[in-house]
Amino acid sequence: MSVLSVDNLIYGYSKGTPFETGALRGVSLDFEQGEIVALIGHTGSGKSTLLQHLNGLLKADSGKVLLEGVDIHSSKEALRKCRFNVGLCFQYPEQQLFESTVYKDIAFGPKNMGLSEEEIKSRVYSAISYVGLSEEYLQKSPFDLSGGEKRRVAIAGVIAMEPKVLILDEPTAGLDPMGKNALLKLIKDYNHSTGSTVIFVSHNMDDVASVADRVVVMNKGQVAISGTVEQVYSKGEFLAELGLDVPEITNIFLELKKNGFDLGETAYTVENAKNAILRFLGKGEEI
Amino acid sequence: MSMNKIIEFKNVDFRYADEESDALNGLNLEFYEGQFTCVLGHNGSGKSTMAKLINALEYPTSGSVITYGYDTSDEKNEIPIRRKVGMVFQNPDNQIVATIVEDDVAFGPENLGVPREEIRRRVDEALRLVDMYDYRKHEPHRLSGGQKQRVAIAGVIAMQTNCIVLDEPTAMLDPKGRREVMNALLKLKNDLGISVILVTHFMDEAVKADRVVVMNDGKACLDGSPAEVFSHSALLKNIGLAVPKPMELAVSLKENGVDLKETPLTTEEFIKLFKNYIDNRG
Ligand SMILES: Nc1ncnc2c1ncn2[C@@H]1O[C@H](COP(=O)(O)OP(=O)(O)OP(=O)(O)O)[C@@H](O)[C@H]1O
Ligand SMILES: Nc1ncnc2c1ncn2[C@@H]1O[C@H](COP(=O)(O)OP(=O)(O)OP(=O)(O)O)[C@@H](O)[C@H]1O
Ligand SMILES: [Mg+2]
Ligand SMILES: [Mg+2]
Repeated sequence: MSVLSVDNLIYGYSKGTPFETGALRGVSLDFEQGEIVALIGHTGSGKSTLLQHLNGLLKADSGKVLLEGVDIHSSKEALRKCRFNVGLCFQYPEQQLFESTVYKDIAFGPKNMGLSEEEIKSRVYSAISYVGLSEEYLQKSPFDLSGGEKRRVAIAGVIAMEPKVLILDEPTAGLDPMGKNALLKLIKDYNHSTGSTVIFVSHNMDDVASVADRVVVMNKGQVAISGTVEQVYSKGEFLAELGLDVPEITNIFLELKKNGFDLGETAYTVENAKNAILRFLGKGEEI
Repeated sequence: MSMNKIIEFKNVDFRYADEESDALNGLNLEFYEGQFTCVLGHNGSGKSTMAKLINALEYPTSGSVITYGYDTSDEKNEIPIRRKVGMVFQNPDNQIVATIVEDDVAFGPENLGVPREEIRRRVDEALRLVDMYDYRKHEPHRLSGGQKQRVAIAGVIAMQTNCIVLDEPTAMLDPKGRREVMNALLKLKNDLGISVILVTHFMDEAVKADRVVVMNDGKACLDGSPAEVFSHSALLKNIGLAVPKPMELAVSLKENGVDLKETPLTTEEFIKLFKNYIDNRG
């Protein structure tokens, strides 16, 4: 059984006004235990709307969200279970931060879960170090931080709940390159050490290629395609039509091919591009 | 070629109220007319703070910031400064002022006293440029993250101030949107001579700039052409940054005995150097 699945979700904003938007137009997806899924799609394609359905913040006009087979809106308990097991980090950290100190902000989720003071404290400390901020930040106001620092605090708050399904809406946006790499590593580590499912939205095709097991492409409120990194990025032209792209490295390979250097394979990351080029040049065995 | 100085930071320290350390720490930095400058730096290095000091949203704790000849510390200079420098904030929610998208975009030019007809023309053009024309009657609060960001960008484009400062405007945009915005900014510079200061974490945007400034702990630590700045790859890595992907690939090939001789910053340059390498290999 999938840990989380959505069945034919339909959702519109501003119903009954001239601006009614069909934000989700029949979305069905299954998320398996322990997989890392990247959600990509053009601006306004419905990614954030979909994520907010996954932890019950929004309720679909029709269709269902099932957590371990149970409809999350079937009872109060089911919704409560969903809130604690499906942790969502918003697209803009300002939508999420509200306490007077960073400590309280990160502690908010664990507190609601009814954990002991001691356990809460240990989770706060491990979460803040997880996101690469020093403990000095804990007594600061979350509003007196830089953009990237706010994002890190918001992510720490969700991690501290140790959710079974971790959902991050554009978690690398606004992070510096080192922070971004650390976050991608965090996603992998969290997934590895807890066996949790991670679902994240990104506009960065390179990030997607480096961590995702599966890529789901949204277009105008529907799932356009879904598959492995290889499957999805082999459809470069289709992605371009949807306002998306292939990773920068993949693009180099496509250009090499156009220029008569057919490396016989493609690449998504610097590491696998380097290896492919060395093989092409007959230097493969030296690696 | 001598260039007109439009903004000057002279020994600027800045500390936010009740903080224990400085966000800007002896910053000396100048910006020039008609230049496209990208500002890079790790999270918390002072980029947004620097941007806010340019147009008098904050003023230095010590030292001075002179924007188009106006000292930003003098309150009565606030209005003339804002007529010269338009700004896009890091979070577009902080920027929304109207309840309809097209009014929001028109707000800036209205304040500058631009004639009605001209405003209409600029608003439509700016909204088309960021692909939000179909949303012109929508409420800006009720848009997706990237759509809000596009509206904020349209707002500053419509102002056509002499200088525009954009704080990570493309952070939430899809690849096509990011390319379009970058092209629109380059066009403003090339066609209208507008000076652009772009804060970004994207190295592929920085390589398109005339000049790159790298901030570290409240100071400018590198300043030069993209090629000059990215040649300091070890330092950049040390302070949390990276080099463009084509360059990273070339460096890693070199470590394995494939020396492309020069350092490519873009895909095009990489392809050219790779061709040369193959041709000269014999
Ligand atoms: N609060 C809202 N009220 C009305 N319409 C909304 C609201 N939020 C989003 N929309 C609309 O719903 C559609 C889907 O928006 P959503 O935020 O899910 O997109 P997204 O894929 O997350 O985009 P982005 O990449 O820009 O964040 C868009 O057309 C948007 O304009
Ligand atoms: N409103 C504020 N009050 C107090 N301190 C602040 C405030 N805003 C930022 N700071 C602090 O000032 C320093 C510089 O922040 P700034 O926002 O300029 O960084 P930045 O380079 O823009 O970072 P980012 O890439 O994360 O946006 C950081 O240490 C930050 O914690
Ligand atoms: Mg979104
Ligand atoms: Mg900033």
